[in-house]
Amino acid sequence: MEINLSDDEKLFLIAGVEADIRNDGRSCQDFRTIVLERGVLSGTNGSCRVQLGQTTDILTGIKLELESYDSATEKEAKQPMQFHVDFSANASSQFAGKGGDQYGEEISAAFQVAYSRSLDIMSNLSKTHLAEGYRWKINVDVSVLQWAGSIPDAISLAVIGALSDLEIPEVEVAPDDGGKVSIVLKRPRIGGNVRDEEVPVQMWRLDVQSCPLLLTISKIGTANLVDCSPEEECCIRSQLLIGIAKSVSTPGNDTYQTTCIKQLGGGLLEMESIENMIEMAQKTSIGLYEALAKRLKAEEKRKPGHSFLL
Amino acid sequence: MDLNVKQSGIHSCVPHVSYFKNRSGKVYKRAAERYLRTDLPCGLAQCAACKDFGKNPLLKTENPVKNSLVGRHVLIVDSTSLIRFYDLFDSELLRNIIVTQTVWEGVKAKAIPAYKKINALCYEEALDRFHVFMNEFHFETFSEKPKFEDLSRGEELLISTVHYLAAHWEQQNVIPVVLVFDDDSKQRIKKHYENVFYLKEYIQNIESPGKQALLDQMAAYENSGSANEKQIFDEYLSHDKIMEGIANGSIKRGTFSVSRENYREATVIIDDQLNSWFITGSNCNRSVNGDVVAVQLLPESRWTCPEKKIRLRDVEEYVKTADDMGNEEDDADDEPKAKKSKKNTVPTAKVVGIIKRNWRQYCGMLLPSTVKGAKRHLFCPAERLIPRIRIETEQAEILSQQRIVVAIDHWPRDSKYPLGHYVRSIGEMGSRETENEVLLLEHDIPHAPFSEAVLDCLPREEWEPDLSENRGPLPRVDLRHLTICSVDPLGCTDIDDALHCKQIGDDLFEVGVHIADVTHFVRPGTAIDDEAALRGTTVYLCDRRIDMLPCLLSSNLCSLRGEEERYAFSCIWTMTSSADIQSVKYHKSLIKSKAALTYEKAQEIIDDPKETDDVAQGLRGLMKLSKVLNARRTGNGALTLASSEVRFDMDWESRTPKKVMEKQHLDTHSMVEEFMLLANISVAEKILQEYPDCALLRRHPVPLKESYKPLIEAARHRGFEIIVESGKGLADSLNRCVDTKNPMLNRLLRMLTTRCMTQAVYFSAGTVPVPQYQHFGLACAIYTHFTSPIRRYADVIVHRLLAAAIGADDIQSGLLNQAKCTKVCANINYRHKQAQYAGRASVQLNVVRYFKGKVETCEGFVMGVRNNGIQVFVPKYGLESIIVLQPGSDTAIDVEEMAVKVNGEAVIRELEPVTVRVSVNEKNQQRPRVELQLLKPAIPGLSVDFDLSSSEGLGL
Repeated sequence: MEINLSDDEKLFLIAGVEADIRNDGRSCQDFRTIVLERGVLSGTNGSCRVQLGQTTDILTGIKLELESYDSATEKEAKQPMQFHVDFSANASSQFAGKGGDQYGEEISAAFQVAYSRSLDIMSNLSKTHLAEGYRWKINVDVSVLQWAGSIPDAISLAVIGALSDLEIPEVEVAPDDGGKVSIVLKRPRIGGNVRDEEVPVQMWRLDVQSCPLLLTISKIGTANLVDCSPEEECCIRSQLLIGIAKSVSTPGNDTYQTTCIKQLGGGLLEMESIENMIEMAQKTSIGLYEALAKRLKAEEKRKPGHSFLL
Repeated sequence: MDLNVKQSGIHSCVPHVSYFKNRSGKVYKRAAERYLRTDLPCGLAQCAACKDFGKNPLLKTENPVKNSLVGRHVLIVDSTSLIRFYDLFDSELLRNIIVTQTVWEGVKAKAIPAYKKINALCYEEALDRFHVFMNEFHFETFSEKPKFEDLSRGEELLISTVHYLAAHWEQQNVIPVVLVFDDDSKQRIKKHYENVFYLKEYIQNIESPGKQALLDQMAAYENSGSANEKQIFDEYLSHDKIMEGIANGSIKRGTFSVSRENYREATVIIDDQLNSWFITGSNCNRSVNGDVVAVQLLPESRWTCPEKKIRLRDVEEYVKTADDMGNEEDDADDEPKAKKSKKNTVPTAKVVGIIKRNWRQYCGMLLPSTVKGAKRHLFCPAERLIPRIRIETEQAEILSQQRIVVAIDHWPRDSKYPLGHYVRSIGEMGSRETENEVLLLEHDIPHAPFSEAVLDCLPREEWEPDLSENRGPLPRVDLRHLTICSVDPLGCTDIDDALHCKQIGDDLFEVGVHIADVTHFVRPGTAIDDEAALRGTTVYLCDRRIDMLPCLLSSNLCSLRGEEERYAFSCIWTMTSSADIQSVKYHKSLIKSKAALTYEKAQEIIDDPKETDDVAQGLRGLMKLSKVLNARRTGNGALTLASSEVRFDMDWESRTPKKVMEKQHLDTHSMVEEFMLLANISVAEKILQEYPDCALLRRHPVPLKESYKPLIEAARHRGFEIIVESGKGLADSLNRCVDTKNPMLNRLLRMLTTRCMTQAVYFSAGTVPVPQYQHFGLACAIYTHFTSPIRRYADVIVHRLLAAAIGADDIQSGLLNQAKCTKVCANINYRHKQAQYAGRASVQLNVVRYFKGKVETCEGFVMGVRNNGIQVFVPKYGLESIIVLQPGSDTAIDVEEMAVKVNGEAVIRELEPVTVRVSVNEKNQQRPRVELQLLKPAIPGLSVDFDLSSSEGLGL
């Protein structure tokens, strides 16, 4: 999406945010309306769609893969998630063809970093390691359907949504040749001699309450903003991508940790500004985590046969 | 919102999600829509609501079979009942049966034999008794969500169906009755539906005398055990554990060799003393013949002994037709019942790991499949020691008429058969070319046309001998003046030996053996030499010869043809008339054979007193000397052995066999043989003396005493004693075994003797202790092959060694290297063995071809008596087949006594003649086979036979 603002328009916008009034009526720390919906793609193992306002639209799907690896060469447990971000040409004509690849890779890399310690922060993720040499691989594929700013923020919400939606089959591990094992899907209701596929598989879900959020905090003039619109993004002096993870080590007394910081675009920042921006990110994330948890709890599974587009 | 346009009886759409793991270990989620319908017929004839939806056969006529448990009813069976007792449903006593779609799919997935039965019943044979209800597409009976958590999924779907039908039929006065497999299931379902019975209970309450037959039938099944373990085989130990076991001796390694008589039994030789462990049934644990395996001894309480029963896969298939997916073809009664006889147990082991697979690509064919359009098929390898292989193919229709090549990929624990894939097709089944190709591929015989590089090594066709380039320390000698002639079988084009004999003094003869000088043309390190070394030997099939050397050499320039000047390698003795050798010399020569004779012609010349020319005199001299040589050799204890080989007289136009050649033994045969042996022995002595570390020799190991057991036993039953202490003793005792009533007895015993022995092998001097150099069969201390370099590569090496030893040629690099010699020996031993097998297989192939449309009554001999049949040998055709005994009331087989008894009286005994009718059984178009039928003595039950002597599937 190409936005062309004249200098006067930019000045108006900058002066506005410095006075904590944004062009669309929000204040600096306000998010647009967030719509989060899960279970939107039945072919995936878990999926989520997130809209920021009416204009940023993210679709995330997770595909599980039973992966075998060489346990001799891989001593350390590996983080099972792989991120891939894809920009649809619907989002902006600049993403047509391979236009979105570089930006996509940049964001995928940021998520890879933010989730690099996922085995520590997600309490039951280690269960994806099934046996010596076998594990579930979680492929998180993100499609950006509409692009109107704050893409990382929206993606991080959609990823958490999809992870919470993800159903992983329980398996039974049986010994096999040469000290190896064979993996069998766990079907608790055996018997009756029906074909295997007809018998449901027992599933389990990941604990997502401390998955990291990725927030973009932008500096416009002297003000710090969250959730910028495309017009605001034209005026940014500098932007930080800050990863925040909620730590639930002591119940009721949650702490919030910064898991990564990455500067997006150009510009220079003073040390003090960075601290202010991190502080803002942490403050924002508290509210966001709360809203998210509430939403994930309250949301019913989408009724089958009804398209999420309706 | 809903854009779906309903034009037929669709009620709603539900998403249906299932998870499954495929064969390669990937886990998939499958999400699909399922449209539930309102227009599926319930099957009841009187049902007005469903009468437009399809055929409704149930209760069209009132059920004549009453049941005391329930009134007017329809049966709804569960899948376990169908899987376990599918044969019961043939009975007319079980009527008005609904098979639900869930049950149908379940049976199809779990047990193919049951599925085929049910399919036939529902759609072909018993249309009026069965109805298939599509419960998974019916809006009232299918629900994705679990409704009854205490039931299995199968029971749950069954109950949903029954609830619906009960309500649906309320007006019709019909009770749906659930028929389940056992009481447990009944008790579970009872909580949700009252009219449920288990199969036995239902049958017991049928008000018809016919029920007893059904109950008896059930009883037979009940013992077969329901433990349907998913994993058929034990897992293999890890590599470390195996190595540890081998180190501490609890695990042995060896080559897995399957019994030729019983495919469920195998042995592994575990040490140098040739001790072996016996392996049977599932203890074979996915080993394939030839694999190097790790075996562990079982506790003594689990030792068994060989069944002494003939089990061939095609025999068993003769009874029950091949099944294309028959994973479930249950083995309950297949487990060897050898346990009952505990007395003769042998060390029994199980396979705990595979050290090296011996898998290769296998020729064979697809077994005919009974499920139409199936993708998974069973492949039957031509080599009968190899198990069936499961492959997936979409083109089974085409492949079913062809010989194909298949490779094994892996053998998972839960599969009865190894899994493989289709590689390529060889050609139309039954055509002569295809069958020959299969034969050559199966025996690993290189048979491609010679390459350009090889042909470039050949001399020009108009090559002429030239003595002018004759240099070196030992020049080629011109022997064109000698009267040399060759004696060979009729039609022989590769003549590699010629002889001469000349009196040179009082009681002094000069005798020469002249061998084609192949090494003059085949120089070491050239492409042609490499190719010959690879091929190792010329292979003779009935209708084709696969040359070791290109035709120009083998049939022309090297062949010692009459009246043509040829290079030769001569070995010339001077000996007295009592064949005492005075001197021997070796040199290369130029000869001109005066005549290329056949054995018959040579015999004629010798016998005809009118023939007095040089050739005749030479032959007579040779004949006299050969008799002396032969007497001396026999005196030393050389064995005269017999084999079952026959030769066909071919019609070369159509390449079909015309008749079996009667092999007539002439004195000229042994005349030539004696001199060849003499030459071989002389050359062996010469090269061993010169190169004690790397001479290529041939040895025949002295058999172990134990290996004579079958021979001694067989002879003892006929009243003869065989002495096995020495070769001389053996030869003499074999000579004494003459029965005037059974003139074949001696030959049969000699055949058995051959089977007790291992094959002669090539080896490099210095690799085994000197006493083991000996050739047991020929009773000589050392031996080699020198006389047929055109068709054997060993002779080529020996020629080079001899030439080097006498200074007639340079010593080529590598020639005197023991390691290299050992390597060459290993290859030519292998090729030699394969060539022999291929030759025999070719004969068998042609026997089938010969008997096509013919029936002949022949004399046969009983070569072995087994628990379930007798092995019969027909000398005229070299056929050896099994006649399987179907146990009759008064016929019994006594393996100890080696006899078949009728009413306690032995009517067939080992080695005794029987009369059989030989014909070709063409019942199986793809695999016709020679069939023997016992005519005399007539025994009820001995009927069907199977060809043991050929590889299965090779039959035309």
